Amino acid sequence: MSTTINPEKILKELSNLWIETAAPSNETGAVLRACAMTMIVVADESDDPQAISETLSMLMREHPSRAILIRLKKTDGPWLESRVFAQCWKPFGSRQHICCEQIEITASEISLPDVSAVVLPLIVADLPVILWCRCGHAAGVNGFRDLEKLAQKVIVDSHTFGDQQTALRKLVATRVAGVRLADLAWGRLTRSRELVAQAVNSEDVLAALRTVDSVKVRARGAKPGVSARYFAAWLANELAVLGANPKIEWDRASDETPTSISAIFLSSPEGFSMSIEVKEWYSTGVLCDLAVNGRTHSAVLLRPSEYELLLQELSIPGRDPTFEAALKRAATET
Amino acid sequence: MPLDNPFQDPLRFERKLPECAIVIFGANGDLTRRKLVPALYRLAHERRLPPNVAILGISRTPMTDEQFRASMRESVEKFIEDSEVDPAIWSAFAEGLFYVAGNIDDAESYKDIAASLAKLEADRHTSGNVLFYLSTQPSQYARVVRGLGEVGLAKGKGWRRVIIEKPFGHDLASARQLSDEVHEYFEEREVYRIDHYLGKETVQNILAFRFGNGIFEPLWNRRYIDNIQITAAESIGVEGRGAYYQEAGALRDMIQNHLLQVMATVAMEPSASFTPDAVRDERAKLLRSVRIMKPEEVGLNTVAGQYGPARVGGQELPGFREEKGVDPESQTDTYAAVTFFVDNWRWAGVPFYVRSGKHLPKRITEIAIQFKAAPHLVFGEGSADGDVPDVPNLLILRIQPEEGISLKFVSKRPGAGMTLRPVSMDFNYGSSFGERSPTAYETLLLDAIIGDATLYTRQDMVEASWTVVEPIMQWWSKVKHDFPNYAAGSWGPKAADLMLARSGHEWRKP
Repeated sequence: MSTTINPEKILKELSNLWIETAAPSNETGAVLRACAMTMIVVADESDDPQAISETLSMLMREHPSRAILIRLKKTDGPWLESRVFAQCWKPFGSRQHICCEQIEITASEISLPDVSAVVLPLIVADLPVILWCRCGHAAGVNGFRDLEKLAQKVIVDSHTFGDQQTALRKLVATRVAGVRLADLAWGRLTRSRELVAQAVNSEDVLAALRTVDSVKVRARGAKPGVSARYFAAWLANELAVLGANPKIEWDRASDETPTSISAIFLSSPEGFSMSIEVKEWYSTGVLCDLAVNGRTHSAVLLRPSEYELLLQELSIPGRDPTFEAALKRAATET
Repeated sequence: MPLDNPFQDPLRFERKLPECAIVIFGANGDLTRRKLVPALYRLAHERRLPPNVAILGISRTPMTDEQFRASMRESVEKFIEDSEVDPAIWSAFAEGLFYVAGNIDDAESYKDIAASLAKLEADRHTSGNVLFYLSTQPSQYARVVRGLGEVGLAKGKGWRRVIIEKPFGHDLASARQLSDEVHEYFEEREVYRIDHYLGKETVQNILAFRFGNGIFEPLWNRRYIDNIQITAAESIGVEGRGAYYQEAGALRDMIQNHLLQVMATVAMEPSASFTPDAVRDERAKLLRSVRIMKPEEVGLNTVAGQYGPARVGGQELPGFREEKGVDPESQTDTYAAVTFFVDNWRWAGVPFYVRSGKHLPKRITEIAIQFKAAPHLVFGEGSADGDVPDVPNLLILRIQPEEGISLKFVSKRPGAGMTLRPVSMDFNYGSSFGERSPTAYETLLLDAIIGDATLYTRQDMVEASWTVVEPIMQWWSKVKHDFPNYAAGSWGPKAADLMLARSGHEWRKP
């Protein structure tokens, strides 16, 4: 059983890896070492290693990085071990391979407090550090907060948290503490939000939205999930910008397990009406109808992959005020 | 006051393009086949074009819509870079391709175009927005604009814009005349003069490099910069375009437009904002600051060249005068080198050496910024192991190929003694960003559809650059050049080396 790891040794292994990868005898031939950030990933040991590896290798093309994957092992005692390897690809038409380095650290939960001191010297100097927390429960493990402090941006997926209302409150607290935060659950709403933005993109509809006094949100499940809360909060925020302050009413359709949003109805005393209603649920996405004053059109909203969601977050280097405002409202209302 | 849509989230939503029709005059021509339609297909492939866009090709050749689609598919398959044609995407894209056979000189043709546009507006809901692309002979630009204006197509329900390919005139007077003719029907804000060099990712990156970083701008002036060299070299000759090229020449074809615009981007003052007119104001201001040569200065500060025959790698290369369609006594410059000076506080006394030529040893476009030497050489003569290589600090901005930035400086060689050697620190665009860079035409077409003219040339910029090169053209037209004066495959005439040697400089060999 391994209980200690030495960052100096990891750095030495990385250095040897590059010498080996660039050696003329190696079939990859000449290589370019590319790095634009350090990406720390915290995952459960049970998380599919193939899926994580695929997501990271796809991300490397747009965001070459030194990836440090921390896998949390379910074991009682202390456990720490590490390995290094390189991910290489050859861009179309290029003579050289481009390689990014990956460090994998396996740690038991009890050993997590020891990990941040190992990660600190492994961070690439002067470049951004992103922490992607892939498993919700890790956020509650002792030592996670120290990893969070190393990063300029923390990406979570609140769907993986147990109690989602508590999760949202925790996220707000994290944000208030000054951490730049992103939630993949918010990114999943981008296409549906875009659909709404397009549907209301005319002077007439925007003017009519000012008069909206009723917003009904129908969610499947006993408690609305994070996505439903975010969507409702975002709608309320943007309606408020227009000058409308309708009360959001929740219509919980049943106690089915999925807790996602299934329909939203907006109306005004002047007769304006708008609705978005999910008609079909597929494994790859949903088919929904969007109606504005009786004129309906259908749209298929594909479910984005983990890679697409991360790409979306990594393309926003600064703050995301729209998300922050929705998070604040979603955590306090409902 | 129009209401802003608060539901828009520009950080995350894709930028939506307005629906429109694109009318290409010269739809059967080389530019349309090689660049325009492949760029439009690529934009469709990346879902950047509105799905209901209509592309209407105009040319003399009789063709049906179907024949035009088949012909364009052939071109896209041949000329698209770094990807294959996707049959499903092509099929959707091709549904938006239409064709009208017409003679540019015939007023009836414009009525046909108007009828087709009206039908497309109804069928494809293009909202009356039309982008006209003039990919014809330059001599036909004014005629096409007049034809459009006379049938009322220059104005309409939606926006109307016209893209004009270079050259914008063949001298200052003709540039002004063309502008006047275009302005009879289109306002200046509706005129998009395309200079594809400005659409190149690396040329745009010059602005990011200069104004997005704090460390370079303080050095970007006469105190630290010794000279700047801008090179646009082609390894090929005129390749069957001899007849056209004979009328243009390197000075008109490259320096008057592309390279002066690049020089303006390198040397301009920072703009207060990144709005189209703010950036273009600064470029125009810089071009107006370029010193206009007096006739007696032209001989000292310019060199015209023409390639002669040579044998390169076992292959016989013809001289320019032996090329098809070229006058055996041609006085056309296939090479031009000019020393420009910018008369302002930032650049006073700093020479800008600009050269462009055909049949040079390699294809390369780059900007080399040479810094002044260290004021005191600690490692010079007298130090026991002193060995100072005579290599200046250079910042190289490579525009094509292998786009990137390199910084050359000296470093100590490992081992005993203080021996210095030059080293290079390289940033390579292709390997640092895995994403594919859009081609210049993709960037510029999108910008025109959105209505962003930042990377397009304004009339005052065109006039300023003609004002700069006209004295050179006039002087050269009076001189009988001793052509050919450089061998194909060499770095140009000896006189170009002498021009720099007089100031103690030499051309960089990229």
